[in-house]
Amino acid sequence: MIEKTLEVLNEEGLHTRPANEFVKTVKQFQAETTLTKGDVTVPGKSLLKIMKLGIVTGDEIRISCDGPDEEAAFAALRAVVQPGENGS
Amino acid sequence: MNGVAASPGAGAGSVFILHERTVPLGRTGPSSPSDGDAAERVHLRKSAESELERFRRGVDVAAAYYRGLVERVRESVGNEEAEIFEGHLEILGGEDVAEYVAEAVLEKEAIAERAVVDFAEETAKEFEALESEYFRQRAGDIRDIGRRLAEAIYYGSIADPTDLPESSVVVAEELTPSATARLDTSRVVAIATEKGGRTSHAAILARSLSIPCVTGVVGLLAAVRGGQTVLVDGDAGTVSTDVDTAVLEDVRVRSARQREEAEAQIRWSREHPAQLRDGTPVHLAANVSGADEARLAAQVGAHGSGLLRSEFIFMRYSDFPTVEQQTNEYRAVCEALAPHPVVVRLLDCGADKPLPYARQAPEDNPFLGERGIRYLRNREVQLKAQVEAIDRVAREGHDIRLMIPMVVSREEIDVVRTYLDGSNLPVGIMVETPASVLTLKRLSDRVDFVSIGTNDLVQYTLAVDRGNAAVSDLYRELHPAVIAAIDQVVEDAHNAGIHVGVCGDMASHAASALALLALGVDELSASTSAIPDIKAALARVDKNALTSLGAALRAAATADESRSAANALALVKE
Repeated sequence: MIEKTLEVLNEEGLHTRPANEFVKTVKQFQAETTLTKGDVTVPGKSLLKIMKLGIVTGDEIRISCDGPDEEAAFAALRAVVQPGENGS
Repeated sequence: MNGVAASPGAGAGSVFILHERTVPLGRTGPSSPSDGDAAERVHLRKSAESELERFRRGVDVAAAYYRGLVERVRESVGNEEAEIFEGHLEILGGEDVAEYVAEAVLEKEAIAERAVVDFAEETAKEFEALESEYFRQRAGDIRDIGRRLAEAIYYGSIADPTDLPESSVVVAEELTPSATARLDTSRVVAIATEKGGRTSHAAILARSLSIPCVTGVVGLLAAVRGGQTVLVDGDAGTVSTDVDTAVLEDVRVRSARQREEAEAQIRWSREHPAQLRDGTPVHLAANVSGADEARLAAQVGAHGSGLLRSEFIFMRYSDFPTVEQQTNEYRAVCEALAPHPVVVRLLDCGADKPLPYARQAPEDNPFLGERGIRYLRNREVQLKAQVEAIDRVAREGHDIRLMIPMVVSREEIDVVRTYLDGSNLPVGIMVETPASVLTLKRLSDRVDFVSIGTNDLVQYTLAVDRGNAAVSDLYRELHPAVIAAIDQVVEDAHNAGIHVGVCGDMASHAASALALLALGVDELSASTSAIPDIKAALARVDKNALTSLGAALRAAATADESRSAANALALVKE
């Protein structure tokens, strides 16, 4: 399992469009993904639950991926919330 | 084609025929043929499995609709906007909806439509509680998704009135308040309806939004087709299908000029108090339907609200709002208009303002039926909740007052007062029935103020259906019978030492407003958009002129005579 805290740098935060991109990305991988803001954790494939977290630019979120392709999944998700940032 | 000039200005654009498709929702719980909703053909639940199947089919229909929408938006607007609808598509087919619906269907015996709408409402509320403005705004998207899905389940297809092209002339048989509330009014250049008069709800709303409107156009729907260019002249009360480019250009120039003038007037209105030429102050408040409109009212310098139409707040919910929700709504209105008072009229549904979720048996004569306080007395849970919410806001220190609609007898005041034991909340009544006019002396010791609801008072006094185009010219606000009624109300109320307001449409027209002041009323509550006009009219007259107008009105033998006298003072052309 891979689990890391990231700052959301996407300039819209996780608005409808980027949040849906996040969900679409999660669904491309086998890894089980969750997203946490504060003390609320939601499944990475629920757009509605992610939107209800009300994530805006600058928020710290925790992404956890668990599965055979967890490394690739995490990298892809990171690219969604931190567009333009390469590597760690 | 001729109709009733219901909201001034002219607008030309493409006809958009609005078919309102209401989805009967039933109640949470088992539906049965003895249900009041049966009259609206509410879908009857057969089994949990059949409801889940209906839900799944509805999702398929709605998903196909959204996929089409994504493509259309991608071509007409751009990729970014299209991706937002892709998000809606994702939500629609997501597990959150499916899980909620399954639970509601299996455990609460809901029908699929109800479950979907309840889900959307609960979720929307969660969004409204978020900190970010952007996310709060998503509540509307979620409700929209819920409504479309419910429509897809019930009808097997989606025909959405909110998908309105730019510069539309909205044409409908009749516009219900909730249909009007769903319109994207920024795209509406004019409204024309086949039914209705000057004071139907489409007209009132059109005026408050400054959209030209003609109502009561007989044969309208048969004469126009969707997409056709028409011209709606809200000053002349006409709808024409034969329009050339020169006319269109003229309309464009006219509406641009009117808009500029309106903006200048709003600024002036905000900066000047409501007073006569000689400096006599006039209490001029606004009729509002919620916090948004209250903020607009504050912008034009309204002195509080003499009529908060709480039924419009209720219409924004998919079920009766809770005490908590109502408290928040009323408080928001008070805050927008502070330090001035806000008069909340108890839920006035029934007749021409049905609430989608409030079950009412069909009536042969709804205007003489279960409306106003009659409706609430038959549903004491709702009455108690609303009175409690208003009282709570009062106890928080806001200047809020309660007003009871459709009163004909003392018991109707007493039943409200039973929920206010030990409270100082001012309680008033709408005077809108002949019974309340004739017996005000015997009611006045139970009330702290009265407000004349002129729309209903005129229609009940003159026995004219204000929505019936065939008789709407008999609807005369300054008919001698109406003047006599107002005169008596003012006298009886003042003898009892109580304040008389007017919150009907009459207070929103300069000439009628002056007539009301001439008859001695203490307060006018006008539509927000009329306030600049009324203030301007007040500033042109002095107290002596009003006294003479009062004498002329009391002596007038016909509605025409009194109308001429009032128009002359207000400088309104015949």
